[in-house]
Amino acid sequence: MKKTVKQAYKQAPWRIQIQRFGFIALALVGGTIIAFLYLNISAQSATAGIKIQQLESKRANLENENASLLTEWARLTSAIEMEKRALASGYQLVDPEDVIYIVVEGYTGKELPEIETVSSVIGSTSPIIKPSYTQSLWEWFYEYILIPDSNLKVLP
Amino acid sequence: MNHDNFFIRVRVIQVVIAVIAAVIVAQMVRIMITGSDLVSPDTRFETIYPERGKIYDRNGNVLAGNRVVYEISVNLNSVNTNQNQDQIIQTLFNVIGKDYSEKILSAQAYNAGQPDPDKRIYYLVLDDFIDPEKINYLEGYLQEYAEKRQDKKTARKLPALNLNGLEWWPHLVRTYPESSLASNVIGFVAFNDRTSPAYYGIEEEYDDLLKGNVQTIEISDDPNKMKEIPDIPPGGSLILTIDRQLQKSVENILDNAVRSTGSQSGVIIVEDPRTGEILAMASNPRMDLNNYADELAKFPEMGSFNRAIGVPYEPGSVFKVITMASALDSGTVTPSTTFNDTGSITIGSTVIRNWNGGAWGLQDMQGCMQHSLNVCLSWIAQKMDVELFYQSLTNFGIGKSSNIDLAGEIIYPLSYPGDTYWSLSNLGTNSFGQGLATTPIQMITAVSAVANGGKIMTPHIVKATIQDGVTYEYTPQVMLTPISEETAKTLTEMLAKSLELEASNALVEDYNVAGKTGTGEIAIPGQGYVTELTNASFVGWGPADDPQFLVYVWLEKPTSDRWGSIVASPVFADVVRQVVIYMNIPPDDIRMQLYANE
Repeated sequence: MKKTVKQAYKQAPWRIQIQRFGFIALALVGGTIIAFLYLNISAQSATAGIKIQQLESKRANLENENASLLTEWARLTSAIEMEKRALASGYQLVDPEDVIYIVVEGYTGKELPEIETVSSVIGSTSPIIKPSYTQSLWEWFYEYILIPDSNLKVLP
Repeated sequence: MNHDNFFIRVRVIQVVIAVIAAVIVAQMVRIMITGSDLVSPDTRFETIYPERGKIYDRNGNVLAGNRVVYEISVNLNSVNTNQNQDQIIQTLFNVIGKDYSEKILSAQAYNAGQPDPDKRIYYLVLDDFIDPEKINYLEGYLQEYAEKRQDKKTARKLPALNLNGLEWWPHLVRTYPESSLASNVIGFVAFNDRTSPAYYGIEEEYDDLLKGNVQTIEISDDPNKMKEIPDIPPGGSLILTIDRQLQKSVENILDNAVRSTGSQSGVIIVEDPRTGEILAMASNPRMDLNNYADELAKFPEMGSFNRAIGVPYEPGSVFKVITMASALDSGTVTPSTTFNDTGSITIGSTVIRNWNGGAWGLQDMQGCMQHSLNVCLSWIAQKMDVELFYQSLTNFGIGKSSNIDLAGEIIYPLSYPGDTYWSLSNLGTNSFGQGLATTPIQMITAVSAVANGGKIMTPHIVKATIQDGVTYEYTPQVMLTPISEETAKTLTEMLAKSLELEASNALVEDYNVAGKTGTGEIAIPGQGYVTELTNASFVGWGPADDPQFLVYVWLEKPTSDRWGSIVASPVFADVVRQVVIYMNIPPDDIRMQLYANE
């Protein structure tokens, strides 16, 4: 009868300790990397958000300034001001008898003025920052892993 | 032994690191799960007012725009009695010229006595509508102060300036670059109250469109919540049918006429009868819209802000145009129908006489209009019969809204047979514009049928709206068709000839115009009609063969002369001389030549 011999051995205790230490260190390094990435993304998100706030504020100020300048320009070219300037420049109001009428081929009269409008994007209430910058890991896990179909509802 | 100690130390380090890591992970998980509450973002609700839409004239000149002003406030959490309060008060006094100490102190006193933190005042508005110049001065002052503080030579003499908590925010308010021009048409916005509605004219009528979508949103200082700030589009803008230059000319003419005739007030309307576009609408008095609070006293009576749409009056003989048009169109009379004027006619209980009390003998319809014979027109109304006469007035829109797109139109209902205040006498008096009341806009709208081949176009003052960058042009619409094209042409020829034959003051060199004067007597309660007080009017249009403009003039209670033919007719001529220039209408002979060459 053939006997099977099994060799019994045990790792040296110091090896076991080193292994355990290595696993914990690995976990910590992994955790640190994840934390670093997470904080990095969060910091980028916050920086982007602050920059957007600043740009929003700057845009609002520019829009206000535009509105003010347009109105100031309108005041400077108002009917009364223009008449004053015209008279000061030596012009005079036309006498109906002095008007000369000529035929201009193709002229169909004054058309509606083209007025430029600085229009905001209509209905732009969609997120300015991508969801990936604002979602917590839990939200991401819930929406993308647990209930993947919900992506359709979340994405802009 | 040393070996064991080594492992014990390693184990202790492991445990410590694991605990720290566990705490960090637990904290991260807690922040992620409980969200932003832990980082306590400063969220607040704020009402966003979009830029109010602008108002342009038909050539793109701005009649109503917006300008920046500033709100000055303090965050009371950052204002401390012992530290910066006095500096804030002193700085504002130096720059703005006002002492805000009482406001700040009373708010702080209130907070001190308020146990509920939610009811305390944290954000105190000190002032609003501050001109940008003052804010520029404030910013320059602060910059200069900071530079001096950095300079070693001057730094020692200056104390540190701590203005923490002092804030200033820009926002837009309405402004009117043309001041009083077309003020009666535009109306105004009470700029010192952003929640207040607009008043009168275009501003009130189109308030919803102009102000845009006011939204209250939650604003957070958490940068991650930027997605919640919506991009609010500005309010819609309007392009009016008004021509700024023509409006100004017409206002000048009106003001001069009111002054020279000693009138109490006046109105001039210029319309393109082919489209219903109002090219100019002047009402006297007017006001500087940028100073509405002080100038509103000019308008004590209801509707007087824009008398063209808000003050009904007995128009007098200009109304004969409606009566004659109705009679011609119904076949009751023809231009050659004759009437023997004996100087009076009795209708109901009223004896009706002519304007001069005279008898004009045998007259055709041309003569009746030329001499403005009350007796003749009363006879015509009688001949038409009550039902047909009032049906005709209804067809012209008398007693109803003109549908003009301006807020504040007043309608004086017409009394019909069967009404309490109607008697047969009304048939006679109504035929020559007495015993009824209309506004100038209702009169010009009715008469536009004669000037536009029988069709009344809906009068309108907005030519186009601009929303989200897209321009929507108004399409002219036929409102009523009270008479035929033939009737309109016939009556226009009759009235043009009338002006020529009587060498009217309304005649304009080189242009053939048609029109009718009116002198309406004014009834005073308790005294009846007073001869000395009249409403002088004129309605006219031209060129008679191809009407392109329609002008209505009303001078209220002129004192230089009571007759419309004397005071209102020359005003019409003055207006037409300007209208033909701005509308590029050449004199008749040149126009005919141009037509022939085409």
